Order: sequence, then C-alpha cells, then structure tokens
Amino acid sequence: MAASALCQSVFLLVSLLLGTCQLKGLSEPLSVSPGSLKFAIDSTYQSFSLLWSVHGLLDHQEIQMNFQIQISRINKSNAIWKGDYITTVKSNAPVHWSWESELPLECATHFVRIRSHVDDARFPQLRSWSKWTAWKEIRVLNPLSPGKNFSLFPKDNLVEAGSNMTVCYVSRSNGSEIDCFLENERIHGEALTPHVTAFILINVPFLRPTGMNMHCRENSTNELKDGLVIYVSKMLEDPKNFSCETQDLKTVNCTWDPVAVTAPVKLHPSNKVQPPESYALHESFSQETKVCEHNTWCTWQVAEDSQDGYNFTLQIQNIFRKRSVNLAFNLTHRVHPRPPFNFFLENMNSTSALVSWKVQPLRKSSTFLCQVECLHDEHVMEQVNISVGMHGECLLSGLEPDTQYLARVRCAYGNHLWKWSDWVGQRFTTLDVAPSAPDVWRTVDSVPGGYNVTLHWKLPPKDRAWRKVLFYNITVENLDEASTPNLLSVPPTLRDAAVTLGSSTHRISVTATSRGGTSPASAVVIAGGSADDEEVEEKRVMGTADGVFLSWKPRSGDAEGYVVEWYEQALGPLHGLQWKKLGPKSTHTVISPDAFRPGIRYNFRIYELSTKLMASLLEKKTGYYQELVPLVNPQVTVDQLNAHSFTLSWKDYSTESQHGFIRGYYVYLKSKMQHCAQVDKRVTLPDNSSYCKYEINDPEQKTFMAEHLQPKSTYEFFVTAFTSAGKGPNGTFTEITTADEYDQMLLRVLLPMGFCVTLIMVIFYMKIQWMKRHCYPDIPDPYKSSILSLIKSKSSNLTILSPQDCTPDAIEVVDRLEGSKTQPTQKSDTKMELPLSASPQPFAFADQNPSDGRACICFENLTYNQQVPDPCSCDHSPVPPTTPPHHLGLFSSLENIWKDYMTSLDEVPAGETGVNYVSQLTSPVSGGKDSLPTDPLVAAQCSEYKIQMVVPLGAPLSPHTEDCSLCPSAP
Amino acid sequence: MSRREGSLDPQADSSISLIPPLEAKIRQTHSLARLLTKYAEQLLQEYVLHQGEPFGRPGFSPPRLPVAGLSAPAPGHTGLPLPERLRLDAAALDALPPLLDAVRRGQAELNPRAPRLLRRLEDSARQARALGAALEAVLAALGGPERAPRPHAPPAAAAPHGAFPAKLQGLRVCGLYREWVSRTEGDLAQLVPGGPA
Repeated sequence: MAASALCQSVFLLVSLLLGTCQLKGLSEPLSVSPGSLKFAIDSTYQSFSLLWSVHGLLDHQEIQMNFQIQISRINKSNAIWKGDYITTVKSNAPVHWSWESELPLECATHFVRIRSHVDDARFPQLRSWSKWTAWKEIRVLNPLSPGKNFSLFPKDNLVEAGSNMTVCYVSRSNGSEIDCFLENERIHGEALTPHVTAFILINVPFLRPTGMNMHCRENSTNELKDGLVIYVSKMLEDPKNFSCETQDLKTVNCTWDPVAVTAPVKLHPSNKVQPPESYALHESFSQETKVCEHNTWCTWQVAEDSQDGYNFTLQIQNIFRKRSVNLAFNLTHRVHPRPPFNFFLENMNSTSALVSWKVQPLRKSSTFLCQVECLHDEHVMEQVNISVGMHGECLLSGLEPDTQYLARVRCAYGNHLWKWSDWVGQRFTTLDVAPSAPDVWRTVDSVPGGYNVTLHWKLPPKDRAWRKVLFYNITVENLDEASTPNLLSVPPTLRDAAVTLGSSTHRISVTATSRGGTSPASAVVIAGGSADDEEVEEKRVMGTADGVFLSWKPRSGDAEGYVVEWYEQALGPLHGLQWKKLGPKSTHTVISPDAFRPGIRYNFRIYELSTKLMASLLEKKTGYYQELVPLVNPQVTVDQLNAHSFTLSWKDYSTESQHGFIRGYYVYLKSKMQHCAQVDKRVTLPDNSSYCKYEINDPEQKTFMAEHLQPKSTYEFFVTAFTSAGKGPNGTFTEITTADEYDQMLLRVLLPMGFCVTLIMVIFYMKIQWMKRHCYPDIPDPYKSSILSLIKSKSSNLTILSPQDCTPDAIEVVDRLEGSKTQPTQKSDTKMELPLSASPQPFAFADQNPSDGRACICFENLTYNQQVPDPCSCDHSPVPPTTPPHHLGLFSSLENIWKDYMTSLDEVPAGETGVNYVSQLTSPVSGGKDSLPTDPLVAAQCSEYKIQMVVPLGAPLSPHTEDCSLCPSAP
Repeated sequence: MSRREGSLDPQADSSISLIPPLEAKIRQTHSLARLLTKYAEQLLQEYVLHQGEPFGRPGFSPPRLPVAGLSAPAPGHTGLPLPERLRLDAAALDALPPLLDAVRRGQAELNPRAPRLLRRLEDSARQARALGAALEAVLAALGGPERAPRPHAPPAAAAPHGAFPAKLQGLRVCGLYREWVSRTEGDLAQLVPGGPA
C-alpha cells in the first residue's frame, strides 16, 4: 500500500511538473486586455477607425481574441451600438477596426470603449472578459469653419436610391428658427442638442444624375444658411445582353448594354471622386481577371495554346453592391468573321459573271460558309451558299443583258453559324445583246379601197431586253405588186401602230433594235379581202377557276398555227388587245385568269394562220371570266294603272353592259295590308310579312303586269335583274296605289256634267243682264206680287204702282190738306213727283211702336227677306205673301198712323223736315252724307228698304226725318 | 501716347471732344457691351436652370459671397467720374474671365450633361476678355493710363467646399458678370454722342 501511495504521489507530482512545463512551453499570457485606444475620423464616409494594442501578449504570439466594442453618442450613458469583433491578434501589432455612423460625425460626439477575451481553444482559462477600457471621446474638432455659424452635414454624400440617410446641421446660435428643404419640400428634423438638429430621409429617390439640393434658411429673414447636394445612385442592376465573340480566334470581344449610372461624384471634404461603378471580366478556367476600361465592352486576349471553352463572368460593382452575369461558350462557335477581301468580277458577258473572293484564314483547314447574292433593283435575283477555304468563287448566270446588278458575298465560320460577316460587293452591268423577235399581231378594218391595219407587238416575257430597245422598224411590203417596201420607225415606247393599206396583199414585218443589234423580223400577211368583220356566229363562253377555255375546229389541214385574241368589249380591240399564238396542232387553249378581270365582258376571236401567214377568222366568242351580280337595277316605270292591275316596264335597261349575262329579272310585289295571295310566289320576311316574287327568265322581257289587285290599295314593287352570280343590289320598294273603280265611274259622269255646268254658267254670265231682268229684277213687279190678289179682294179702288211708270229718283211729297196741322215747309216747295196711281191704297204695313210713340212709314221690298230688329215701327218680320190677314188689320190704321206721324212732324224743327231720298241699295251706315241721320241708332233702325206702298192721293207723305227714311222703290 | 486720338480730362467729362475713329470705336465697344449684357442675362438664366431648387425659385436670395479678385460695383459707382468708372469696368472685365473659367470647370463636374451651359460659360469668359480689351483700347485712345487699376477686391476667399457652395459661387460670379457688363454698357453710353449725359 505504501508503494502504491508513493506511486500516486509521484504521478501527481510528475503530472504537475509536466503541466507546469507545458504551460511554460506555450508562454501563456496571464492577462490580455486592449489598451492605447486611438481613433481617426473619415468625414468623407462618416466613419471612424479605432486602433488599439493588446497588452499581455508574449513576443511573436498569435491568439484569436474577441473584442467587444461599445459606442455611445452625445453622452456616455447613451449607448447606441454594441458589437463583437473577433480577430487574430499578433504581439506588437495594433488592432484596427472601423465603424460607420449613420449620423454625420460632425453633429455629435461619440464615446467608445472596448473589452476583450481570448477566443482561442488553447487557452480556455482566459475566456473571461477583461475590464472595459476608459471611454474614448471621438469628436470632430471645429465642425463649423471659421466665420460660419451654421453648416449642414454630410457634404455631398452619395447614397443608393431607396436607402435612408441622416442629415444634420450644427448652428452656433440656438434661438433662431431654421427651415430646411429637400428640393422644394420642407423636411422636419429632430433636435439632438440645442445646436444640432438631425433629419432622417427615408427612401431617398433618384431625381437626376446631378443630385438633389438640400438647403436651410432662417425662418424670419429667409436668409440662406447653408446647403448641400445629395447624390443618389440608381440601384445597380444585372448587366443585360452580355455577349462575347471573336473575329480571329485571337481576341474575344465581350459587349453588354450600358447600365444606368450616376455621374462621377466628387465627395467632400476629401474631394475624392467616387466612380459610379467598375467593370471586370473574369474567366473561370484560366482564373484570370481583367478590369474593363469601358462600360459597354471589354476585350480578352486568347493565349496561343488556349482552350476552346471559356466561362466568362462580367462583374459590375459600385460602392453599394455588386452584380455579375455569366457566359460559357466554345470559342469556335462564336466566330464573327471579318468581311471577305479581294473581291473581283470576272468573265462578265451578257448573261453571266464570275465573282471571286478571299477569306482571312483563322486556323489550319478552317472552312467558311459563304453566301453570294446577285441583286437587281434591291431585289435578290440569285442567292448561292458555298463552302470555301481561303478562296471562293461563284458563277452568276441567268442574268439579263445590259442590266445593272449588285454582286456581294459574306461568310460565316465553319459549321457553327454564329454571325455572318459584313457584306462585300460590287455593282456591274452585263453586256448588251440584240432583242428577241417581237410577237406581232394585227387588227384589220375594211375601208373603201383597202384596210386600216393596226399592228400590235410585244417582246417575249422573258426577254427583258425590250427595256433597252432604241426603236422598232415596221416594213410594209406589197406582195401583189413589185414595189419598194415602206419602212416606218417607231419609238420604243409604242406598242402598236396603224397603217392604211390598199386592197392588195401585204406583208408587214416588225423588228426591234437595241444597242446590241436588231432582232429577227416577225411578220404578218394581210390578204386582200380579209377583214376581221367576217360573218361568224358569236357564241358565249364562260370562264372557270383555271381561266377561259376556248376550243375550235380547224378549217384547213395545213394551218401554220392559230391565234387567239381577246379584248374588253367595252374598250374595243384597239385598247388593250391581247393575243396568244398557238401551234398548228392546237385545237383548244386555256387563257390564264391573270389576263382577265371579274365582271368584265371580253370578246374572243380565234384565227387560223395559213402557211403564208394569212389569218382567217374561225370563231367569235364572248363571255366573262367570272360573272358578277348586276351593277344596277332597272329603272321601272308604271303604265296602265287601274283598279285591278298595273304594268311595270324597264325597257331602257341594258343587258349588254352588265357584269354578267343577264338571265332574267325578279319582280317583288307586296301589298301593305295583305299577304301574297299566290302561295307559290310567296316569300316570307322576318317580320312575318310576305311578298310575291315573280321570276322572268327572259332577259328581253322587260315588262311585267301585276293583275288581280284590289282597287284603291297600296302595293309596293321592286324589280332587279339577275345573272348566274345572283341578283342585283338591294333597293327600295316603290309604292303604288291602284285606282278606285267608283271614282272612275264618277269621273266618267262628273266630267261631262261639270263641263255642262261650266258652259251654262258661262252663258249665264254672258247673259247676266238678261237673267237679271228676267229672274230677279231690281224693281219688283207689283203686278206679280201675291198681295195683289188680296188688294183686289179688299178694295177695288186700290191700284198698283207700276215701276215702269215711276221716276226712280224722284218723290213728290204732297201735303195733306185736311186733318193736318202741319204747315207746309219750305222743302215742300221742292217739286217731287211721286209716280203714284190714282188710289193711294197702301199695300204694305206700317207699324206703330207704342213705347216711344213715334211712328214710321216704311217701304219694304219683299225681295229682301231680312229681319230688322227695330224697336220702332220698322221692327217687323217680313211677311210672306201668304199672310194677308196680318196685313189687313194694319191697313185700317194706316190713316191714323199718318195722322200721328204728321203730328209728330209738327214737333220737328222746321229746318229738319225736309224729305230726302234714300237709295234702296244704300247701306244705312254707309249711306250718303245727306242721308246720315243725326241719331245713328234710330236711323239704323229705319233707313232700310221697306215695303213699297202706294199712298193715296191727298194722303200725307212721310217727310224725311231723323227717325225714318223714306225708302224709294228704285235703287 | 503721341498717337492718341483724343484726350480725356477726368475733371471735365462733358468737354470730351471726339474724332470719328474714336467715336466709331466707342460705338463699337458700346454695342459689344450691350450685346454682352443680353448674353449675360441669358447665361444667368441658363445657369440657374441647371442648379436645381432653390436656385430657380422666385425670391431666392443667396448670400452675396465674396469672390476672390473681384468685387461688386460699389453703390457709389455712378457718382465717380466717368474715366474712373471706365477704368473700374475694365479692371473688372479683366478679372472676370478666370472666374468664369473656374465656374465652367466646376459646372463640368456638377453638370457634365449641360453642354449649352458649359458653352455659354466658355463664351462668356472669352467675350468678357474681348470687351475688356476693347474698353482698354478706348481708354488708351482717350488718354487714360496704359493699364487700368484693379478695383478694390475683397480678400481671396477659400475655394468652395462642396457642390452647393460651388453652385452659389458660380451664381455669384455669373451675377457679377452681368452687373459689370451692364455697368460698362451704361458707362460707355455716356461716351456715345447722343447718349445719356
């Protein structure tokens, strides 16, 4: 046991010794703490750097330490930040650390202190924190320049759009009101101290590359205190359209779109220019990086033994962030060759040219794909792709003589077409040649003594040399007589010419001449007596989708060929004549639709050409390539309108000038009140009304009779033509009303009656005086009066005053000698004879008005059956002749009336007792001056025509007074 | 001096007698001053246009910062004798071109995308130099001293620190340019026959 205890003691001692030896061997620091704290302020970036040393480290010792840093602002108790900083500390090497303040350092004093512990696994016993260093005061000395009492901070800072920043001002005075503005907007700050106010700008926008102004001014005086510029950078974006390519496999050119950048900013107070962003190109295989000098492109030199594969990364960064984009490619797939060189045109003739060129070689046995184009008037006429090595050539054929072309070539590298090179080319003009023989045809019109021949010619469609034709020569040769041929030169712009020939046979040949020579002649022969207007029946022809098919039967077995000509019927053969020449075996042809227009009528003529080139007409056809509906509807007139029918007529409607063959007409008829009575013709409309539709299938039948109609009913009609394509345009219905049969009958009766009546009236008018005299005489004939019989029955001594015996405008007033107190007035001297009969028996009544006691004696013509409302004696009703009893009673009192009347005359002033004549036709109101009563009311009651009566001789005649008018019997 | 075209008596402005070549020169210089007055106004407007708020705001009254080597026309400038005034004008025009050049350089940094403003500033410096030379020639012809004395200039102020003070400084220089050119035009007008006395 003792040995065991001894061994244990020895082991512990050894262990202690070994442990001691090990600690000593590692040179363990007994106490490690930061000290000697120093600082440096960088106002440009609003940061300060701390520098301190670590005490307690042995020489050359490196241990990892954790420093805890605490920062207070304005005063030590106002801690605003606390953080750890872990770093490896070397002995005798200061520790460096920096901190960026969001508040400009000029505006507040900061305090910093540090403590630390060893963060090294080798020294776990040293992990406890050291003591805090003493507070270190960090303060910008004299933030206000001499002479200034106000200043804004930071000066000309650069921030990223959307970020926040703090601006502050320092003022010596603390009593003034300061207003601060960002651009135009006033901003509000927080007073940190009586002399310092801070403004927090949230989400700063990008307004312009030249920054935003912020300024402060004194509220009371509006004096500008200070200002600064805040530069705002747009947020950096990923570069776009990053692409790399090479022209020679030696240099790689990379390009990208420019990013929106901020102008270089000179930061204050260091006056350091802050570049907006930087660009770098990094290749991952070679691990090489190149700083790019330009902001849109960069070049990369390929090493001699470089690989074909590349992986580029474009890096863009500014002080706020980094962006990058990657591109991996095989270099041989990104070759954009340089343009070919040594481009030549060789062996040029009228229809071909040989082009040759060279390509810059890139590597051994490299091949290029080259594209050769031949252009005329900017249109590609020919395009050829050729694979070549260093040298290439291509024959351009099929060219037109005397024509300008552009030949050009471009190349791409190998089998991986990345980009074509730029074009290399040259313009050239082919050599000129003689034109081909023109295609000649003619139209012939007979005239007295010969023909008028119109020649038409054209060059073959593929022979474009006609553009360069200088002139055409027309030679007319008389085949019947030996004579000198006539030669006519025609300008190249013309395509036809007219010649007049005699009745002999003539041969007309046409040649075209260009700078390349004269074409072969093309001839036609005009035989005597071979006008085109031969009597051949014209047939109709219809086109199809393939064109117009024409066939014919050969007339002779040795025809040289056939000619089909056609033209628009409306224009005639002299305008737009087209023709087609066919071989001797042809019996039909199809003219392509290109030659026609829909809805146009064409005339076709088919000629047979003899071996002597004489043409004879075989067929005449007319038709449409495609029929259209009629262009217009007929103009319809209505004839024979009666009670039960009418006739529609459109005889002026032309069937020849339409857009198709008129096949007939549709007549639409409907009644306003009724449906179509004919069921088989009925067409129902959407509104449930209906009309009758009649179809006329004869285009020459241009009338239609509508029958079985109702009298005095309104109908509507509409007429349209139709072709195989359909009916004409829609139009409006025309209204028509059938006649009334009774009206017609009445018309037959009333017309003669009216005529007769008119005739009689004319006659009567002409004989008006006679009529008046016999039918309604002005002076009634008392002998014809009904009272005559009454008078005759009552008294035999009464007589009738005959108007013939009267002097119309004279009245004789005779004073009554007996029973009258009236003295003769001066007017009684007036000799007025009253043409009276011997016995003055009154035949009319006199009324007495008891109300006023005045009496009137009135003469009344019974011709006038007019009642006069008269309160006086004139107030009476006209008395028909059949009422004699009424009158009889009155007759008996007539004498008394006269007496009373004359008595009343005595009361009238002497000057007013004259007797006046009142015309029977004179209106009481509009009477003459002399007849105007002094009392208009009374006069109006009495001055009217009264019944005439005969006053017995010796009876007093009524003088003219204001109350009564003596109405004469004559007008 | 023997080839003087006239004599200038500072004490008797109204007694100046002019001979045609001198009169033509005065008229020419006056026309140039009048033209530059208009250009100076356009320059000021163009300058304000590119500085942002509050420079373009009506009623904006920046402090009249001292400009190194050049003072504003004194309030009593019009009360000075005409020859003295012309000499002050010539001295100011002599001092203005380098100041305008400095403003142009500053604006080239602050507003690199304002070519018209930069061109106007460059032109203004050249035109101020030309007007100053023409005025010196008139003064020489009138018998003035060979070289006009510099006007009393304030002590050279430190170069503005910061973009905003640079803008203020440029505004001040452009304003001084306008004032001095306008003043020169007014002073020359009194030399032109028929002009204001």
